[in-house]
Amino acid sequence: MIYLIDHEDSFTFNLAHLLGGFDDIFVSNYYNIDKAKIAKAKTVVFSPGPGEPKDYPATTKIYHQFRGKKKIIGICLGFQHILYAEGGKIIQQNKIFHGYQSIISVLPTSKVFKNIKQLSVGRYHSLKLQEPFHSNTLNITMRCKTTKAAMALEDHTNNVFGFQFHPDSFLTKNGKLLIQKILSA
Amino acid sequence: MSAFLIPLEFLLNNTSSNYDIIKAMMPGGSVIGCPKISTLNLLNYQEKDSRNIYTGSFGYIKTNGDMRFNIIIRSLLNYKNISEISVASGVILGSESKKEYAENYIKAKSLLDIFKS
Repeated sequence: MIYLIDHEDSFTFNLAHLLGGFDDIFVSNYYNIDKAKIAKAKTVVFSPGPGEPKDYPATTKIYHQFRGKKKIIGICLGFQHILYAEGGKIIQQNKIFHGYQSIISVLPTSKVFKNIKQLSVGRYHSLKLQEPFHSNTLNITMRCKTTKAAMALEDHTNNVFGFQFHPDSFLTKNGKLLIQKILSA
Repeated sequence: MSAFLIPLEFLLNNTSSNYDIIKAMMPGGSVIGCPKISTLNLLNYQEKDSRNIYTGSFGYIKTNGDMRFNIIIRSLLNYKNISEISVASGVILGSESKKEYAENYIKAKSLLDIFKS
């Protein structure tokens, strides 16, 4: 079962629909997390949402509780949340992307998307990861072709994955395949 | 100007009522932006006037459960001999304020024309 934490975002149920194609899905509001159910889940997904990671301390707590024990996936805000919980700083980016499609490069650090060089993705975010960012286990695996902003992460030691862009958006080509690949990674 | 109609088909779970569907869809994302709860809070703070029926919805539910609802824009509200027309612009990062403001007159034109003799 996949447990999706909804940070009150309008994209959450599109994402739930996408994830639900691969496993049973349970969605709960951030303010109403079912502790017994999340403990039973195989995968925990952090949804997109307004604001910034520090606005959602319960998500940080869940990340530290299950890191290395369950697969954790973060999308958009959820992606930033993983980096934030790993000690990264989330800052305003100069060029804001809301409803933009852009080309991103897949880096050699990616194990999941080895055969793909670049992707067309839909982006809805004002914030980004401040770099340099260092982690012993977590790699930035995709970047915006023009701004070089971090677009995906993979941590194969702790089974943590994330996308800054929206695989659930119609602006992302083959979003379903991207989700399928990280679910089976 | 052009409009796109995108037919959406979906399966309802057995427990969803018409009320649940309306509640899930309203207010429309096109008239408040998204993420819905966050933008609603911002709009409640920013908008000084009540929208009244504007950007709400009007429709019917048949006895067999079929229903049809719209989003109320380009509409005239008559109440106690006063007619009210509301127009507005959805603003995105790339919007130019003067152009958005000017567009409101285009949106209101056909309704305002009714009052010209």
